[in-house]
Amino acid sequence: MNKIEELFNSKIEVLNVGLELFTQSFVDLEISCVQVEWKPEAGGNQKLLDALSLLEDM
Amino acid sequence: MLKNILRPNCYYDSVTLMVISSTLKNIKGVNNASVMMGTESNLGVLNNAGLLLPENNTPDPNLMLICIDSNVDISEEVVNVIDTKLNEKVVTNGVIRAKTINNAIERLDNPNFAVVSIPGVHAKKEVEKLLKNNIHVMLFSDNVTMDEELELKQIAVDKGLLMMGPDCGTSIINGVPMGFANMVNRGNIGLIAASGTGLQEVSATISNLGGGISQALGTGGRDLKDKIGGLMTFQALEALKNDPDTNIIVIISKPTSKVIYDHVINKLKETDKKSVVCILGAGETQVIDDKIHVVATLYEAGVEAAKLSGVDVETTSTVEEHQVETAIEKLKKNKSSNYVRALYSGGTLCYEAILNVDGVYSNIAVNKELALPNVEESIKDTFIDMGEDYFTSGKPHPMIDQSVRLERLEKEVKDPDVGIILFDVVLGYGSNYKTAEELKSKIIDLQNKYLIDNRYVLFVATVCGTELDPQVKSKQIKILQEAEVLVYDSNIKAVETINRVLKSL
Repeated sequence: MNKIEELFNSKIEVLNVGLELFTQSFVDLEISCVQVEWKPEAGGNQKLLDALSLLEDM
Repeated sequence: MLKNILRPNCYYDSVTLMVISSTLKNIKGVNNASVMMGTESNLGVLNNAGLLLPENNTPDPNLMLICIDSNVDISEEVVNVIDTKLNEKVVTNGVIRAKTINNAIERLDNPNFAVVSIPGVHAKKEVEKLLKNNIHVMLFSDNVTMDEELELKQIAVDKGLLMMGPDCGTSIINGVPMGFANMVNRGNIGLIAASGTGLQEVSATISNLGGGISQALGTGGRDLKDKIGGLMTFQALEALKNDPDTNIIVIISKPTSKVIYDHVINKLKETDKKSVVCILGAGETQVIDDKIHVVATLYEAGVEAAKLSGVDVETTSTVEEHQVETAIEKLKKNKSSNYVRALYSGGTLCYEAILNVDGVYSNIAVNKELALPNVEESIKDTFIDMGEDYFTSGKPHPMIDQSVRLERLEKEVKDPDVGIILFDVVLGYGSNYKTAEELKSKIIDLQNKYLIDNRYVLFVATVCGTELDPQVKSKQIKILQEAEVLVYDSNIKAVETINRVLKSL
């Protein structure tokens, strides 16, 4: 079974990354959900982000 | 006096802050106030509003700025209001929280889907993490470059995953509404759309007629551009072709290139499943190979799909003939031009309306000659997409908070040359639950204020939603009818009435 077929035949378990208003449907329908309280890495500092990317690529 | 309070390393998402900002002007003594993150574009918004002190004009996306313009120093009160609202969780029960995606993945047994709505400049990196972990993605974020979109979709296609977006706000997976989506019947009709109110209108229409949705997949507004080549459209199409629970496939799109259109039709010819292709504004309806039904409106797409799925479609009207005739007679007595002004929250619904009423000006005009030179000023018959970037820069989308739309509504009704107002109310998850109530109050207020001395304005609305939605469609229709609004449950039916009224005047 490919991954999309698998999704269509599975229980949805969802990550909500960002706006919390999107979790209401998951709560109402008792869908397993994790709210990711996302914040920019490195305080959003682009130079630090670029440096982090370089480190991750190593 | 102008005061700025800075909170470093205090990130909150833009929608939360915009909704809070829109309430700050109600605090007694506040002339203007805003709370925003210190991104470059937000600093521009604050500068334009005269709220930013010169020494704070350095971008820092992790810095929260509270900016207050007041006659006396009431910053403590404003900050208390902001902190109270920030501490109110939008959804408190039934949700586990995590600080990072990797953290979140560990908290679920088999994470298989993610909705991503973070600033676009950070989206690619986070979506890559999700795809790497074999998690399908719906990417609501905009301001993602086309190069980034292409890269993400190529990863998704290689791995056999869905990467729906960017700017994809709607999908329904296994009956679960994702983003701005309606609660609909489950059934055997699969939908593919750029996503947004087009997908909402068709899925709601099908459900309202007695049909049901197997899956509703969004692709993002640029997927059918040549550079992206329809990567997600064709990924989704293959999935629905192979899905045993999908018998009818519906594709909804704005006009696209002939190459892409022909490719879509050829793919549909390969399957025995019947299909409906809605190309907005294409004009003609036709049937290809006895199984591909090409239609030109969202409502027709819903009706055709429901019929093909075996539903005995009965169409009914929420408005009686005499109501329209009475409105026409009253408008004829106005000593004015009786222009129509439409204020839409749904971009695709506005687009469909523009295609079906001749000569309207718009901020999303297809014909450049009808583009509004200044979107703040309507000209003659004008239809506005209030969800367009101009209106949502620094402000929440009207489906979440319609303060800007209500202000524009007053401006239009105040104009003595206006005779007809048209608007949409989009129900479902993600949307404001009080849209109809707020509009009813505002309309009654405007009727008392401006519609005196026998001046009449006809209010027409389209409600996009179902009885299963948290707002309940029939309840919202009733609320609007209490303000004497003629309420339809499909956009094209509302637009047809507008045409009929205009021709009668």
